[in-house]
Amino acid sequence: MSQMLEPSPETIEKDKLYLEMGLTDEEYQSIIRILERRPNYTETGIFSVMWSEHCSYKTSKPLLRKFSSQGPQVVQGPGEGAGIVDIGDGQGIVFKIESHNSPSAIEPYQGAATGVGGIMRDIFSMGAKPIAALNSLRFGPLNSDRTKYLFEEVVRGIADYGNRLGVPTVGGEIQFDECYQGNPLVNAMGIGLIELKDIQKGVATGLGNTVIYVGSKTGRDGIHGATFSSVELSEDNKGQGSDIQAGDPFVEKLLTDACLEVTHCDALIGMQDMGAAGLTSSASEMASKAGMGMELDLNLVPQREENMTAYEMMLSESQERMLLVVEQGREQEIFAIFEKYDLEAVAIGRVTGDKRFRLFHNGEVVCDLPVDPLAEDAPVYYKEAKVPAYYEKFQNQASYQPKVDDYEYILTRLLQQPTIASKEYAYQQFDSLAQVNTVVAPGSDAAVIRIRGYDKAIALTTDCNSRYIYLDPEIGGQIAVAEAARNIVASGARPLALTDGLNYGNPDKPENYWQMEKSVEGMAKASIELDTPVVSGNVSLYNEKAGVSIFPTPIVGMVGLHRSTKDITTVQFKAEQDVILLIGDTKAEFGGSELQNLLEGEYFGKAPSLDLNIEKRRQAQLLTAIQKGYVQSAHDLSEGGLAVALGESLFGTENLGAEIDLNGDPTSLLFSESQSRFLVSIKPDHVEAFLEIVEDARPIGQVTSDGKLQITCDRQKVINQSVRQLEATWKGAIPCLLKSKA
Amino acid sequence: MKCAAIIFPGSSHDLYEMVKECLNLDVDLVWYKDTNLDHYDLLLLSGGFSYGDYLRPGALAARTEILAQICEKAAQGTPILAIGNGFQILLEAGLLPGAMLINEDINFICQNKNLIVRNNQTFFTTAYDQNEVISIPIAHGEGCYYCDDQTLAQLEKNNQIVFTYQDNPNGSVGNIAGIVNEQGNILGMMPHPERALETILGSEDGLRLFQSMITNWREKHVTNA
Amino acid sequence: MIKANVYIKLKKGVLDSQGKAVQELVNGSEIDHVENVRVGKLIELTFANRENINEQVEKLCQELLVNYEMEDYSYTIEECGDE
Repeated sequence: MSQMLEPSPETIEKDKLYLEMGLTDEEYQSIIRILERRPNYTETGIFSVMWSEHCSYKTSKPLLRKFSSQGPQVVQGPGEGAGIVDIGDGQGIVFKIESHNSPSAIEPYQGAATGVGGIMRDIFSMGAKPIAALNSLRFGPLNSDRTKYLFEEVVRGIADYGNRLGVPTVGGEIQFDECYQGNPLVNAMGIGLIELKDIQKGVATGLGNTVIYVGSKTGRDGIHGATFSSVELSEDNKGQGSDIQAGDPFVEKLLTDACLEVTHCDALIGMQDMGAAGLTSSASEMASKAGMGMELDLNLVPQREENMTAYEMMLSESQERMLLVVEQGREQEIFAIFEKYDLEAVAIGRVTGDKRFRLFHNGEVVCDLPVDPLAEDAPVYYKEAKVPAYYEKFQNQASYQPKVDDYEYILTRLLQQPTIASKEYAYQQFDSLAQVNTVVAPGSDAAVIRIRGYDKAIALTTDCNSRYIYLDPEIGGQIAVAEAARNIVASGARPLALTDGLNYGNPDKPENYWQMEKSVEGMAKASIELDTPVVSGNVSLYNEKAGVSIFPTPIVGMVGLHRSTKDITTVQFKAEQDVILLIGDTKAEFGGSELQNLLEGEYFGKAPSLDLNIEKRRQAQLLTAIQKGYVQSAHDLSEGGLAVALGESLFGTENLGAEIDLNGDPTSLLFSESQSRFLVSIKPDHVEAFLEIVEDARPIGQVTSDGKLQITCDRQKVINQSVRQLEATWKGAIPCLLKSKA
Repeated sequence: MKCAAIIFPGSSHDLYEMVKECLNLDVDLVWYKDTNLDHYDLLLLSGGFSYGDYLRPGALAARTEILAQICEKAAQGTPILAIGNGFQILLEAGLLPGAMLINEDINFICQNKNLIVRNNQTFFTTAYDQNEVISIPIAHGEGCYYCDDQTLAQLEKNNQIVFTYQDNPNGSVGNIAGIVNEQGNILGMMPHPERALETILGSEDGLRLFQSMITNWREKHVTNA
Repeated sequence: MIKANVYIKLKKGVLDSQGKAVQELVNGSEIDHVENVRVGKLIELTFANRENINEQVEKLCQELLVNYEMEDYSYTIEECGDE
């Protein structure tokens, strides 16, 4: 009935209705060329989502080619639901990061929750058991009611969904900057454990095999979500007339358990999540990858609402749905497993040999498209890049030298900066201990999950300092990868591989595209140098509001391997009299620093420098020292520099303190954000052996038991503060900001 | 001693896996649709989010068919350990007195907490000292135990309060973290002792709870033999 | 069609954390005449006809929808069209 209300192919062309769906004039014309006719309404919608940036990477493809996914540790690179690295003993870690920025800007609770749900389906659709979740969040300054609301709701959404799934949310990072005010970022990373022999792929092979739909019914939610996430947020922040996608973690939990059980049934041919662009992308991608076609009868699709059109069903982004291809004649074996979990599983179509994507609705053919052009022949755009004026200016500026008189005051203020302050408010809402494998919970450099039954563990982190990337995309991109690897090494693990969550502004602006290009080049270079190939990723463009772009924010999610649980190292100092050493040189580098933010309220100048050879050497040497058992604690130096790192190494200890003796300019020594540095503590007996391995380390003080942080610079006491008081400041900052009225 | 870890849709498998691995218990994973519990000597009701905590935590699981069997086993004196959501289910089923409210400060809390062992004479706690302080993680959003004054007086009089929080995280009446029924064969507690069995994960204080159960069961059955 | 609206709230005296949190927020806003906030739930039950409807709603409340340890309930019955 409502089918008749849809515009005719002629009207679509005449009134350019395809523009509203996100297709350009040229794209629409090339569709006509491919089909040798005008597409109908449903077909136009299907092309528009499959050719959206989210599904086709049409803008980012030329950049993504710069990444290397090579390495003996790589089992599965980009192209499937998630990447896989080898962790020995026939096991692999499946992981991927994905953005859910625009849904979270509109409805933060559901947006964040469904972000977690989506990434977890990518993980278990490969046949892996989800074992951890991380997230990387960016908000505006925590002083407006809107930001507080977004922050609280996003955290609650992640917690409610992840906790109900029984997957521990073990960490990530949360940063606050003006540029995210109108456009918060919510990136979720999923991690799964797999026996390599169980790897599943999203393919629809075998002529005549049955296509099965599993999970929640299809409603009108999130229609054009994939397209929407690929356009700039409009002023009023509203979607395009469709309903907000709502998540049901209870169904997802059942779906996880059932799908993992199905993985062990050899009647299963392929499985894929119905994520962005829902049924359209899962079905057409599975067929295309297998070199086959697919026929679906949409009347068989379980529907939550009445009178749904083919267009609505194909574009719906209802959550908690999976598409399976099953050996013909063995459907009952699969149905029985889903029935045990009270989940709906329905045969809705079959695999064909003609490479067509054909849909039937109410007895009529409503879509008949060639599969490959849909999934693989999306246009590729080489955008124009232009060096932004601000970059030229910053590069030519004299280096920024902050003026600090009262070091204690500045340290206190830095510890209160939301980006540095304790995120306990968020982390304690996450059930970080679910599954009983969490050795290092959120709040450390990297989270650590032990692998049960073996003497090994994995380290997980997400990182991206977008301030550096804004100032210098290439160096900043390198730093993002280097810092992630540094976090992994500080926890005692060898970095294995990474997933990238690329968040940028509008790529049609040449200055933005330049940022994208340079930062990707920087990341690619560092990832090759540090032997951490890129195995999966996600691209989110058009992150801007009212013409203001976010800082380029390519988030690095990294996985490392502890060869023994004995190597697991944490940030906290352990015992009185241990010697504190600083690895690496400190220069007067304050561009993009937290101190610059605090004093100036903006970022300018040059990003800190980075030498990847030095970085690599220091990481390797520290890891060797950790593996030899010499290292009591290790922490990478990041936002806020040495003084903040010292504080963090003391927080959570039983009244330990530190006496530090430095020589030089106190402001740089305490607060500079020079790269490739670590703070470690070593038992006195091991210092000599440690220094033989780690070249660039020097003792700067020792751990005391008086609960005081005392720092002397050129024999002048510059800091003498109670650790307990500093800790209270650091812990209280975010709860205090949330309670205060804007 | 044959144990059943009863799993509802949405329940966690952690308790099952941990007692099997760390205590070598002979334990079966029993899906809630399998309703024969006859040959089990001990029942475990694990944490998690049965039925997604929808309506009220534990409310829907408490209305499934297997509950009749659990009630029967309870009446026969079979020991039942109910942790987190398992505790909420037994409150909803009326096997333990009281109810569970949303945490006082609304949010979910995952944290290590100090508990005080208030009664070390139960089947589940003999390996602890009376008033010993132990560290066990909590992880719940609705763990604020509530009962009326009369019930609280009753619990105190009968020595049914087994664990209290040293520093009340959720607003529970009487700082209550865990209680037994009047007969003493059912322990319900919000903290998760199965998460405190290994030093690598931070605490071993949960071990003795399970060891108490094993020892007490053996003693009873050796003397009966 | 006929609809029963079941209203459930915490008993008087039982800590209503959500109500308290909402109230704190309201108190900080320009709306200053709110003396008390209680957060409860509404459950809609749609029946095909009126037959034994009160009895059935009562039974559902007692057996499932309401936890007597901490909650009170009331309900209304209304005619409704097809939705």
